[in-house]
Amino acid sequence: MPNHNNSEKRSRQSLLSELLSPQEWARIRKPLINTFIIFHGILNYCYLFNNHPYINNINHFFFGYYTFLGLEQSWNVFAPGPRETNAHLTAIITYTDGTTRLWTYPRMERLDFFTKIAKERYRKFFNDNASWSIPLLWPEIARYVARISYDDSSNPPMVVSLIRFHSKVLPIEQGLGKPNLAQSEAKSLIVYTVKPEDLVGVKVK
Amino acid sequence: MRLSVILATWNEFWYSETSPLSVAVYRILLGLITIIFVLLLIPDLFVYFGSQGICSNQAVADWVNGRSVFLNVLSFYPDNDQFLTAFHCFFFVAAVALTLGYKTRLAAAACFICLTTLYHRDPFIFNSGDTYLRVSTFWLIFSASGDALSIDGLTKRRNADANFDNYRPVSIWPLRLLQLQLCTVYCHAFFCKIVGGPWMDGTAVFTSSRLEDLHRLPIPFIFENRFTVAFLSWSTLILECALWTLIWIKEFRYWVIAIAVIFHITIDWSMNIPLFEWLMIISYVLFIDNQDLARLLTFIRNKFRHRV
Repeated sequence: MPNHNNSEKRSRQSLLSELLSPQEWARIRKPLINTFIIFHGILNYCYLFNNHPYINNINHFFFGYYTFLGLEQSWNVFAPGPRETNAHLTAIITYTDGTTRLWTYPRMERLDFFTKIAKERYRKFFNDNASWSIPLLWPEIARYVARISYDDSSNPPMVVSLIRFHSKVLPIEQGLGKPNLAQSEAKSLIVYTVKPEDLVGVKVK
Repeated sequence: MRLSVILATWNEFWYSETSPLSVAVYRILLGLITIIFVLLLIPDLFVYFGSQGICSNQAVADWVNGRSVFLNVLSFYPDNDQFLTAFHCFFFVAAVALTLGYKTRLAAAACFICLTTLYHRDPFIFNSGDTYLRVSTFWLIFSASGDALSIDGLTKRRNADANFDNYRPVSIWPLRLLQLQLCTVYCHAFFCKIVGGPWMDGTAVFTSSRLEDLHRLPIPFIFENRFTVAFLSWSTLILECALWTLIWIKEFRYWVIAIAVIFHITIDWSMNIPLFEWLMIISYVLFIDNQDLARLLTFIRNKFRHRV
């Protein structure tokens, strides 16, 4: 081994020797690494291919460790098939004086090349998650929209309505060579009455 | 087959030694992507994670229903935007340190903690690329990625001769974990897709090309032709299968990698999924033979020197 490695080796040894003798370390090193590899290998397999009650029990048992470190993973993007809808969210803000305003987040299809790279997380949040599968986010979004729309202290937002507009992607038999359908199907997700505490801390004129 | 043969194979796979070069190049590329990740978050940092943002701490707690505790440094000072700013600055410094290879293991651990913290603060804004970045950074902590092409290497004068093919060998098992992580991505993607109709009947690429929020740059013709759409759908399945099987066989490895790079660049051209495709592409460096990588780096260095 080259001489220039000696100091580094010494410092590593001195650190380890506080806890273990070199012989002890040499004895447990491989079993320790084996355990680490096999444990995480099994855990990953069980998490990714969770298709049996026994596997589910293993996941349940180690759920705390796995999620604490954020090691949970799934690679089922566009699987079993890509989603078949285009959608976006819109909010209608109704102010105390009865006026209304329309709000939407930065929609990818309306942004230029560079902006949509930076704003992609809006797509993930609103289009993939909030629009469909996680209703608990709807009041969160409504409160956020109320806060950013509160620009006149004499006329605070009173109600925020969240609406999802969507359209189906045409199947290939009907869709080849044709443009997508307009996102015109509407579904009201929530009509949220803004509370005074929702607007605490917002700087207004 | 005898047990001794299995154990010998296991030992050879996990406990042989290798040059740290490939994992060091991977560290640099992963570090650069982490820096971009940090920078891209800055304009909307408070929208995503701030006290007045789109997702409160309470919403995340309600979503997980109190099932567990999470690694989340921001929970020490929840709803504190100054702390969030300081945290993000720290994350940037850690990403730079990882790229440069300064206190490399510590920097990798810091980057992992920061990535996990942001994920646990608002899991609803993160995509598969972010998951891959987070998990890969975790495995990187265990690797000797700071033993080459790093400030750590310079200060310890470990590689004074600066030849790319002359690094002190290191344990291979962390590299194996990183390689297997990449294979896991494709393996899971493959098995999730083959059970579904759209991939097997060859229409999946058409449907995915019609998702308006994912459009980036147009590709003429191929998404509007039934034959090319079917060819691309089935090719995706074959390639994903090859990327956890044939990639281990030396004779096929570089062919598979070359096709995969074209595949990911095409996706990156047509779809707006920032960082994910590049994370996949940089990960192929983990499969490049260290001798070949050393030759490539020497070639680049000589070219650069000539220009200077």
